[in-house]
Amino acid sequence: MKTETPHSTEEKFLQTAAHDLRSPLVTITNLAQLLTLRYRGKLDPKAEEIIDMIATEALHADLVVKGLMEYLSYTPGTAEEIADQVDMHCALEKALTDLATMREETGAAITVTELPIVRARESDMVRVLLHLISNAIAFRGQAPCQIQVSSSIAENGSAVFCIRDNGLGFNPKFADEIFTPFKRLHGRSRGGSGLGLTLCKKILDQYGGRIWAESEEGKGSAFYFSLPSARIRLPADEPVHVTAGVV
Amino acid sequence: MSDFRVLLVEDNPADVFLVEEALRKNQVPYKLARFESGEDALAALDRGIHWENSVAAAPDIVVLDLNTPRMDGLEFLRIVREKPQLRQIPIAVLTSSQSPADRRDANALGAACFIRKPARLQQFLSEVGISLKSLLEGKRAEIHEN
Repeated sequence: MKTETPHSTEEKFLQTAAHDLRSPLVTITNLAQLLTLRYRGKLDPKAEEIIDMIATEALHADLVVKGLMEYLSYTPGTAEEIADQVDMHCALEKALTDLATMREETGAAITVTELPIVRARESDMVRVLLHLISNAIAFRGQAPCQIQVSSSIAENGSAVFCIRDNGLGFNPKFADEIFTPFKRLHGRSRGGSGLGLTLCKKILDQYGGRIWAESEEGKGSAFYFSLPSARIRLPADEPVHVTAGVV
Repeated sequence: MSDFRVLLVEDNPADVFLVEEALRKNQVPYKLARFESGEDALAALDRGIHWENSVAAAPDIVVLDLNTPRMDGLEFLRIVREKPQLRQIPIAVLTSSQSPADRRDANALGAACFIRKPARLQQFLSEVGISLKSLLEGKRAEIHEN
């Protein structure tokens, strides 16, 4: 199996720099949290507030650097790798396993309809689903977080996947911009590196697929991605049966 | 129960502090020998390590950072693998690397586990503490069986 390693000197340089930055950030974050844990209630309230701010800032910087490392280390698959058969249900299961803690902490409920088998590298599909679902959870609103994962076949035969949530949503004027690096529409407390959607786009580009979003502020978002008909294992004229299920 | 002998290869004192915290939090009785690089650790292993002035003995576990001066962690693993007298010591890699290649290489070189340093303290203390504890207890059980 080909591993995802940087393919140019510049990328290697950036990846090493990102790694060297991340190492002390993780330590600073942990030490600040340890300070809070050990001395909560024993310090001046202002001092506690400052320690919390240090921990929060370091955690945010760590997220950005981690996102950068993931983005830089991503290498498109070989022709053989991206022709693998991937059951999108299995890819979704893997993404949800990685998100288990986040789902438990937030009580996010995820429903899924029938998903097709596609030709792609499984890790790519897992990664796209993981970023889209983690965004849906991170940008949840006041109501209990509900996410629907579904698929359909478009008129041109391509498979369209949709991740719909009932979260904060965003002004549709940003629908294209959110896929550009480091574009953020919400505050830092919501987490995220600002690179997740950019990476999703980079992944789908190699398949000749697309990614886009529809949203309205306060009314949730729907993120779609498509894979061309040639990448669907089912014949284009075979309908995809939609049955409700809960993951 | 006697203390476990933990050899830690880590050049950052703050990380040494956090690893010790993880061991304490998980009630792991330990003695620690710490070296800044794989090179120093190998030299000490060859000489024999005296744990708090006791008789020289091999460590029960090596906790290894990958990014250390002079000799990095992967090189350390490569050399240890070639030394029959050291090959049996479990080595836990503890790193901030996110690279799948590092994990693959460390596993291929015989690392017993590969822990990515979590940035959340509770997760750090439990993941690091529990992984090291289970490796140490597994090793002790193996010794009793033999």
